[in-house]
Amino acid sequence: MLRESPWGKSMRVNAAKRLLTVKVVYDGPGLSGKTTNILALHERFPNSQCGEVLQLDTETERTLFFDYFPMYLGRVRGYRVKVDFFTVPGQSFYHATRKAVLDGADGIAFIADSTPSREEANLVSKEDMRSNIEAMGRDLSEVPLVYQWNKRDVRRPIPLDVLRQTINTRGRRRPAGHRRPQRGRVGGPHAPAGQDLRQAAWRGCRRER
Amino acid sequence: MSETLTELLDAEGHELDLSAGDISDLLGGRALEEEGEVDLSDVLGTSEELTSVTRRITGQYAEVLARYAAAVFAGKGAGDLPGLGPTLANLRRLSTSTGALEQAALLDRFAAIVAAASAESSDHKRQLHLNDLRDWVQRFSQTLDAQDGERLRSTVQWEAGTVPLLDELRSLRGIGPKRLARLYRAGLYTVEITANALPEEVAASTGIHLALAREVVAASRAFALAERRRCAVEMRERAARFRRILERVSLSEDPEIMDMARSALRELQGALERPGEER
Repeated sequence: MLRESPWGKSMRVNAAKRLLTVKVVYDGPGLSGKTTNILALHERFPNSQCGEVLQLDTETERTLFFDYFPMYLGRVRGYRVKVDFFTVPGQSFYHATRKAVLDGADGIAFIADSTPSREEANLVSKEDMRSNIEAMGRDLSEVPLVYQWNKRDVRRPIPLDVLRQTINTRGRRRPAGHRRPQRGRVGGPHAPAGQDLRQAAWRGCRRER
Repeated sequence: MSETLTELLDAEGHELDLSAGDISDLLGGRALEEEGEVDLSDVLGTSEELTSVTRRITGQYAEVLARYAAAVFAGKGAGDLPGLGPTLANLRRLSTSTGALEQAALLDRFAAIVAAASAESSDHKRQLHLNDLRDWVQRFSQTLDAQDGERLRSTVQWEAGTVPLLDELRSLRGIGPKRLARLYRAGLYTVEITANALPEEVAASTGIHLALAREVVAASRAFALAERRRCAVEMRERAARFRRILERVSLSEDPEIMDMARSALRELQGALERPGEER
């Protein structure tokens, strides 16, 4: 039997299969690096723990519907824990598709683009994410959410303070010394948003009740 | 969360007694229980969440498919619908990704019917293909969620007269079949979708230059507005017709009139519930 958690349509528990499924969605403006993020995550985990990456993109390699892969994390007292990773298409005209993918997300990684010309696109995308979440009867502040300031290696990137003030309006930040802007390639030495998101999900879940 | 999760699982008859440490260990990335080789095929196979997302997205594209079907009913051929191929290919990928093979086969069937109807010179035989298409609409709508299926059926009926795909953009200087096909391949299937896109995105997604992308978006907005006005007029006419029928129903217990009223009500509700496919 499939049960949803008491705090809404999230974290599906299938008692018959002894399976706990968590849905993590990468959101953000077009070309900010969402697909690259989940491809990097997929690379970092052993093949035996991950399903294949499903990419539904256009000829110009823009995500058309979404990207997806499942990851097995391990067991909790006999319950197998699986994470379904999704990305949304970033272009503004895929609004309805984004809404379908975001529905029931247990956690969101917002991938912001540090390119100066993408400042408005970041804001539009964040607002779109907020309205989608609210349309589902949820409040964005209740959804575990992490931000990744991506593409810090572009020429004159948007200052981190500006990104924090305009996008991370909830104001929760890592303590000084633990901030970790994404420098350059996602698959590089800096961990992508996935690990932060796991921790945020944990904090968010504990906040419930 | 551990308390909540424990309650949740206890409700299913599994007393787990999870501790906060268990969960934090898990979220920290360490597997909680040592295990050897395990068969994960059922865990990493088709996901219920993936199936749910793909069904919803396919449902959203029901309206796009309906417009193609309506275009064929209105006398257009495969050559007039450059976006049909990419649309069907993308939806087919979506269907096969979750093993919805019947749906994928129906998408192939749609392409075959349109090709056959386009190539047919005999009116009688063409009509037979259109009958196949009518059956196809019914069968494909059954593979969708009930609401999306109803939207497919009602939109085919609604759009049979006019077909607001992207063809209107052909009137723009610089938009020919090749660029139109690029727009389709980028997912800009209808004027409404294109009307809500940013010119920069259209340029980036299709490779056409920004000035032309601006013209494309502006023209799409004008066409979409005209289409909304047409819909509004038609909606008012339908509502007036329905009111007249209702007035008669209130005076009569005639089953035929009751059926007419129900039918008109369904039609009106279908029209009123037509959502925009992409903002």
